[in-house]
Amino acid sequence: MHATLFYLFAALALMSGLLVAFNPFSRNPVTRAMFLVLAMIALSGLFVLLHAYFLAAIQVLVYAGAVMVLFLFVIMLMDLRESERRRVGAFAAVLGLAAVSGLGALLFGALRQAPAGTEAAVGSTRDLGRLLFTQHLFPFEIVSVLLLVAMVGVIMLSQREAE
Amino acid sequence: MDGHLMLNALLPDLVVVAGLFLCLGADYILLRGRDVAERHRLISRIASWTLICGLLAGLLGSRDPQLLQLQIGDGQLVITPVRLLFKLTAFLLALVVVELIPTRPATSGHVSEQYALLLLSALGVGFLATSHHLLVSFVALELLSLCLYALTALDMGRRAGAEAALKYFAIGGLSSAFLLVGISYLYGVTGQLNLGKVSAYIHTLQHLPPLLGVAFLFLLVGVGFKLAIVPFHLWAPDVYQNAPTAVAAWIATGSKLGSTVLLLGLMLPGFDAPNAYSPVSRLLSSGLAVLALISMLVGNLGAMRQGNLKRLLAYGGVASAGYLLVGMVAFSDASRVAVLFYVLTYALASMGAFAVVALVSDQLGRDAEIDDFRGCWKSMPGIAALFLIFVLSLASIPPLSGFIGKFGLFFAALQPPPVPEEGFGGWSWLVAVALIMSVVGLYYYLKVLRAFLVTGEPALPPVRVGTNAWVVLVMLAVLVVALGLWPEPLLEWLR
Repeated sequence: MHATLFYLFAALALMSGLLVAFNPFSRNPVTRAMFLVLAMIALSGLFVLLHAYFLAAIQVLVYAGAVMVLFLFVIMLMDLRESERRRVGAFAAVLGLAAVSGLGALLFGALRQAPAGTEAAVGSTRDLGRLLFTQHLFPFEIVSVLLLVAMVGVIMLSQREAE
Repeated sequence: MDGHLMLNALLPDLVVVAGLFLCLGADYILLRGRDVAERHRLISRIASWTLICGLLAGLLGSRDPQLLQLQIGDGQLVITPVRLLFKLTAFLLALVVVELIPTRPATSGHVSEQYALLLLSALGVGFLATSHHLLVSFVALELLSLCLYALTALDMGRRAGAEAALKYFAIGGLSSAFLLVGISYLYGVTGQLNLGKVSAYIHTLQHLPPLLGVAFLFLLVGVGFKLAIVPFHLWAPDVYQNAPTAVAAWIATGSKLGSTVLLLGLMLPGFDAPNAYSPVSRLLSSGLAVLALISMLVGNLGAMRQGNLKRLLAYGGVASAGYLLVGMVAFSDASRVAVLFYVLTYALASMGAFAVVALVSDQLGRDAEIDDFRGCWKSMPGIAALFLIFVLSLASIPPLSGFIGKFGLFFAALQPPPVPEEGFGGWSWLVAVALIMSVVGLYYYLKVLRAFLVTGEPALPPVRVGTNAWVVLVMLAVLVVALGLWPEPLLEWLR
């Protein structure tokens, strides 16, 4: 049961991820964004299987919910139509394919030999919160400074023509 | 942990955070509706005093012996003399960048945001320098990178500026993803986040799991992008040319300092290896050697063809990252010291060269073509003389610090390992290539100097350079010369 669900969610995540990048049926950005939502939901399914319930909930709430709404806002505000078919040179295509297949083969080979994990993740909200505010307090504080960067950066980049 | 001690250790950072809120607050509340030039004047004063206070706080901290061996949170905040030196050098370089930000921008009405982002990225470099922990290093690197993406996009009105920023952001995001995947594999294999413990765990393994090789590959891709190592260098020329020059100077120096410390930390399993033939150090050094070779070739040969001074400096930076890796492959104590010394001297000289470009061509609104600087010697002798020092140091001409740095790198790579082994001839072939490539480097740096010093009538009218800018330029030049003539104290400090 567990293994079946894992393969189901993994295949779903991979398939919808691929459909975000190259969708043979539609070039509409909204369709792609919807496949991204599907990929996020499949990932949160994988988190549930790892007993990381809090992370799964956050994945759905923040990524599939809030972030994707922003994506859709941007797509609609900028009125993006069907994206143009991009021309890819033969050299770039061969090089890219070689890099991707090489990396894929390397990863596949390495992961097949890696022992399976035995420990279940400790994913309850309480444990996560405790870790964040004790052991990992310092990186947590740096992340709060990082959010300040995002704020200042957005102010700087969004109000260009105000002057 | 001792709260008082931690507060002392973080005092420079807290000063900078307070200062950046002061910058933003003063701009948004006091200076609303004032003239852009006036806002620039005041805010840049606040920013530079903030950095000076941060530097003083750090120097005060360095007098406390307890602080100089601080370890907090499993390597999340580690202060040693070398790490403190890197952090304070980053603050010093940020101070130079503050003086280089043009006070009469043609397009942007955003003043305090530029200084705030600069201060935030200096914090990022500082955290990177004092971290011995995968998670903190990643977060600090993101803090730095996000600031740099935003600062690069300052010239979004120009098409080339926007293109460079987008390219930097897209490739940078991808490389961060690689770094993060590498970190998670490394954590998955070793179960440790502290870099020292990661290395210790790796050395307890009987044979290397293949996943470890994949992890190091991903980590090298991620850090290679930040250091502009070939084949991850494609963003560098465009970004250096089209970002505001002050920002390019900061990317070329501050970000390089931080990433080098991170790379040294990630390569710790190689440095910790009992000898040069243990599987992990063979794995890492062969990877580094390949990257070093192609970086030197592409960087130097690419720089020869450039007509734009900033692009030339970008390719020169790619080549210097190659030399850095040449020094690292030997994985000895000498090579660690050489790498740290080289990256410091490179940062100082490179900052000086960019500073001259910023002061001269930005004020005239030019794009820093080499031909623009023709006959600079006649119209601006002082600037030309300082530029001579910086470029000769970049080209590593003897009495200057660049020479000592490069000599240390090559010497470290040439030293034979303590126990020679069949089938491993040392790194002399790599050093040979590096020497040939240094001669090529001499060619294009001298080409720039010829434009400055020898050729024809002045192409540019003389520019007025403010007192502060003179002070920082002379300070950089004095450091570059002094570290060349008298490198022992710094080398001793780095050991």
